[in-house]
Amino acid sequence: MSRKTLIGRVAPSGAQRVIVRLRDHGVSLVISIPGSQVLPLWESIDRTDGIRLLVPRSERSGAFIAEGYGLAKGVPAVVANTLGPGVANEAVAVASARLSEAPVLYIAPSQPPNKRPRIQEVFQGLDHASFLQGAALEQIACDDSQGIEGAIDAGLTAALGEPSGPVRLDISFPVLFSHTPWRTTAPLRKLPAHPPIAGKGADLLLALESSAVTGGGALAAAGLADDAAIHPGIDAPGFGLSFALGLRLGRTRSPVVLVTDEESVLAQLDVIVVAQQAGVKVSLACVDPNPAAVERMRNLADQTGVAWLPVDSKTSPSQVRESILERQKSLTLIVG
Amino acid sequence: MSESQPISLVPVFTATGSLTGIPGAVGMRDAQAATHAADGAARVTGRPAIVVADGLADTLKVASGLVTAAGDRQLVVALVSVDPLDRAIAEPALVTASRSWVDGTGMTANEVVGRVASHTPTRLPVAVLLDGPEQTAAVAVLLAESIAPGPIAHALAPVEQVEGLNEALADLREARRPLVLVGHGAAATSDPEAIAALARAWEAPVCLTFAATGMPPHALEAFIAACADDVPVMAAGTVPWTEALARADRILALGSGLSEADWFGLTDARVVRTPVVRVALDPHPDGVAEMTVVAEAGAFAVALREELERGGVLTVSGWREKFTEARQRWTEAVDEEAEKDAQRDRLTAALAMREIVAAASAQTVFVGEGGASGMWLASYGWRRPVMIPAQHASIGASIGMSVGIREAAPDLPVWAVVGDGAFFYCSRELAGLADRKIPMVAFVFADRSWNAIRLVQTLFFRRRTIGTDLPPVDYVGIARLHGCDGIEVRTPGGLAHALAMAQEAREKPLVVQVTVDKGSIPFVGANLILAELDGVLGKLVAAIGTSGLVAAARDFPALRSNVRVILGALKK
Repeated sequence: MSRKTLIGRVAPSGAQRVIVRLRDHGVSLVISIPGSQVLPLWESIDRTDGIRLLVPRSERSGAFIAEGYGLAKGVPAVVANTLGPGVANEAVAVASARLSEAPVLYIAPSQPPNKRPRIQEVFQGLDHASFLQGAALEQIACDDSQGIEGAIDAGLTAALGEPSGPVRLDISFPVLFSHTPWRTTAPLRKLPAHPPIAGKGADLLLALESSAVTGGGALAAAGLADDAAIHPGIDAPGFGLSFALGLRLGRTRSPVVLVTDEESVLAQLDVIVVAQQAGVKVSLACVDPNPAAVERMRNLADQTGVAWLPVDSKTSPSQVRESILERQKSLTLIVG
Repeated sequence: MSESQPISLVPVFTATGSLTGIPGAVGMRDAQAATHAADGAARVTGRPAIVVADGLADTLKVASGLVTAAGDRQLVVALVSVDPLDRAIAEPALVTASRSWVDGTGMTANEVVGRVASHTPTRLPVAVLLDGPEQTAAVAVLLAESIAPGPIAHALAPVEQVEGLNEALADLREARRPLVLVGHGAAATSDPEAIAALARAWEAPVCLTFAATGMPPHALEAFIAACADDVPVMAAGTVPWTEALARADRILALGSGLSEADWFGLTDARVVRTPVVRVALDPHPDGVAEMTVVAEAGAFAVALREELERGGVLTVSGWREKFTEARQRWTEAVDEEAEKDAQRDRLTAALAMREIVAAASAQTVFVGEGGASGMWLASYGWRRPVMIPAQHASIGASIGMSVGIREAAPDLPVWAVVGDGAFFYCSRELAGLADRKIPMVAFVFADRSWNAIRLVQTLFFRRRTIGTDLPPVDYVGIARLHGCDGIEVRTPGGLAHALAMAQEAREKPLVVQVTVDKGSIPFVGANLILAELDGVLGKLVAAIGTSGLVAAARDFPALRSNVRVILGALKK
C-alpha cells in the first residue's frame, strides 16, 4: 500500500482540510515564511496537487507579492506566515491591500484559546486581531476543526466581496495539527467574481515603484508614458518589486514592467532571489542619463544574475518599449 | 564605572525623509529597521531610545518593529504622525504593539514629554501619536534632552514596608533546592553584588533568563564578576540551565516578566512545576508565580540574605556544586564538538561559532537572531553580552539593532550573527553604516536552509524537510553592492583569515559569509523549538514516543542531551 493511500485513509489534519478547501476554490499559491506552527500547512501543500508553496525572504515582501498576485489574477493569493512577529511584519502590506482592494487571504496560526487571556506572557504572543484591526478588511477566527471549511469559504468570499481586500483568518494552531474525522463538508460555495486588473493594452502590465516615479523621465524614456500604470495601495517606495513579482506570478502571459529607482532595487534584492527561485526571469534596464548610475546597475545585474537589457538613455523610447515587449515572460525593471 | 560602560546618547532614529530638524538623528533606509535600531540602543544602554516616523507606511513599519521591543520590554519611544484619515488603520497596530500609548495630538511638546516620562518606569515601549512632522521633531528634540543618564527613578517604599515581604521570606527560607532566576529587569539595573551575595549565602545556583543574557554589557560584566567562580551562572537554554529549573524546589525570580520564553514555564512542556516567588517592580504581566512581591530585586536580595543569616540555610549539601560541575561538563561537551571538526579541518557551524566567540574582544557585543544562527550564538557566546530577541525569537532584526548599538555605544565593537534566512530583512542598512564609515561585522551563516525549521521537521515531521532549502546566494557580492567589504569562508583557515580582518580597525562594515553544510543542529534552542509547539507538544511526543524523539535527534549528540533532559522533566 502506498504511503499516499495509507495517509488518505486516516483522518485528515486541520491543515489538510485548509489546503484542500483552498485548492477546491481555485487557490493555487500559498506564500509563507515558516514557523513551527505553520508546518502542517506546508506538509499538506506538499501532499496536495494543484497548489504550491512560495517561500519569500521576509513576511513583508511575501505579502506585497500577494497584493500584486491577487490584483492580477482576480483570485486571492493566500499568505500563511507564522504567528506573533510573523503576523506583525505583514502590517504595512495588509494596509496596502486594503487601499488597493487587492483580494488577499491572510491565514495565520493563532495561540489556542486557553493562552489568549495571558497573551503577553506567551512565547511569540501577539493579539493579531487587535494589531491588524485597522488594516484588515475583515477578520475571522476558527478554533474548531469542523469550522475550517466554513471559515475558508467566508474568508475567500469576503476577500472577493464589494469592496474586495485583505481578510485575515486566525486558526488556533492546535487545530492545524489535530486529526479529526472528515464529516460531510459543506458544498463549495461559488465565490464572487473579481475581474483581474488590466493594463491599457492587454499586452503589458505596468507597475510603478510609487506614483512619485511619474515625475521623472523614466516612463517617457521607456516609451511607457501612455500606458496605464498601477502601484501598491500604499504609495511609498520599497514595495514595488514584490508587487510586480506578484503581478508576474498572477498574470503569466503578459509582460510585466516595473519602473523604479536604484535605491528601491537595492532595498529589494531579496525579491530578485525569490523571483529566480520561482522560475521568473528578471531583466534590468537603466535609462538614467548618469553613466555612473548605469554602471552601478550593470554591476548589480551581474552580481545578482539578472539579465541586462542593452538600452540606455540614448535609446529611442520606441526601441526601449520594443525591447521590453520582446520579453514576454520576464519581469523587467526599468531604473531611471 | 568600568571603561566599557557605554555613554547614554539617547539617539533618535528615523527613516522618514520629511522629518528634518532633529539634530543628530540617525537616518536609516527602513522605518522597521530604525525601530530595531532604537531597540538595540535601549538594550545596550538600558536607557530609552527614540524612533520617529511620519506617514502610514513608516508608522506601520514602526508598529511591526515595536512588537519585538515590547516582547523584551525595551524602552523604545516611538513618535509617529499619520494623516487623520489613516489614523484608524495605524492606531490599533501601535496600541497593541507598544502596550503603552499616548495620544499627543493637540498637546505641547512639554506636555507630551511629561506624559511619556510617566510611562518609562514600566519598561515597555511607548507609542506617541502626534500631529505632524513639525510637532514630532519638536518632541523628539525635547525628549532626547530630557532623558538624563543614570538609573530610571522609581518611587519605592523601603523594602521592609513592602506588602507580602514576610510571607515571601518565610516561604523561601524553607527551600532545600533553591534557585535564583535573574531576569532582564534585575540584571540591568539591580546591584549585582547583592544578588550574588544572596546566591552565595543561600547555596543557590543562578539561572539567567533569555532576556537577561542580553543585559547591557557593563551590567553583564559586573554580574559575572560578582558571582565569581563559586556561584554558578547558567545561561538560558543550556542543558544545566534546564536541569536546574527542573530540579529546584523553590525559585526566586528577580526582575523577570516570567513569560514563557523567560523560564520555560509552558503549558505542555512545563519543566518547572516548582513554586515561584516573583520579585519585580512592575508585576505586569502577572506571570504564573505563586507569590508576587513588588520590590526592587537588589533590596529584596539583601532582605532575604539577612533572613537566612538569622534563621539558617536549609539547602541540601552539594546542591549548588552540582551545577558548577554540570556547567563545566556542558562547556567541555560543546567545546569537544567544535574540536572534533577542527581536527578534521572541517568548517562547521559549531567550529565557526566557537572561533568567532574566541576571536572577539572582551568588549564585543554580539547581536543575534531568533533562528538557528542565534541558537549557535547562544551555544558558545553565553558568557558575553548577546543581544537577541528572546520573547518573540524574531528573525531579521540583528542588523538594524547593530546600527542602534553602534550609535548609542560607539566604543563597543558589534558583531552580528545572521542566518541566511534572515539576512535580507535589514541588509540595506549596511549601506547606511558604510556611508557613515561605521564599522561592524556581520557573520552570515550560509547553510542554504531554514535550519531551525528543519530541526522541527526532523523531530516531528519524520524528517520531511519541505520548503526549507534556500538557493545559494552570493552574500559577499551583495555586501559589496551596499558599499561594504566582504569575504566568504569555507575552511577553518579561511575563517581565521576573516577573523583577523574582523579584528582590524575598519572604516566600513565587513560581511563574512560562513558557508557551512545544512542540517547542523545547535546545542541550545531545543527549548525554543518546543516552546513554539506548546499546545500540541504533548500530542506530538505521544505520537512519536519518547524513544522516537530521541532517535530523531540521533545525529545530533549535543541536542540529544537537551531533549533527554526536557523529556525527563516532562515525565515528572
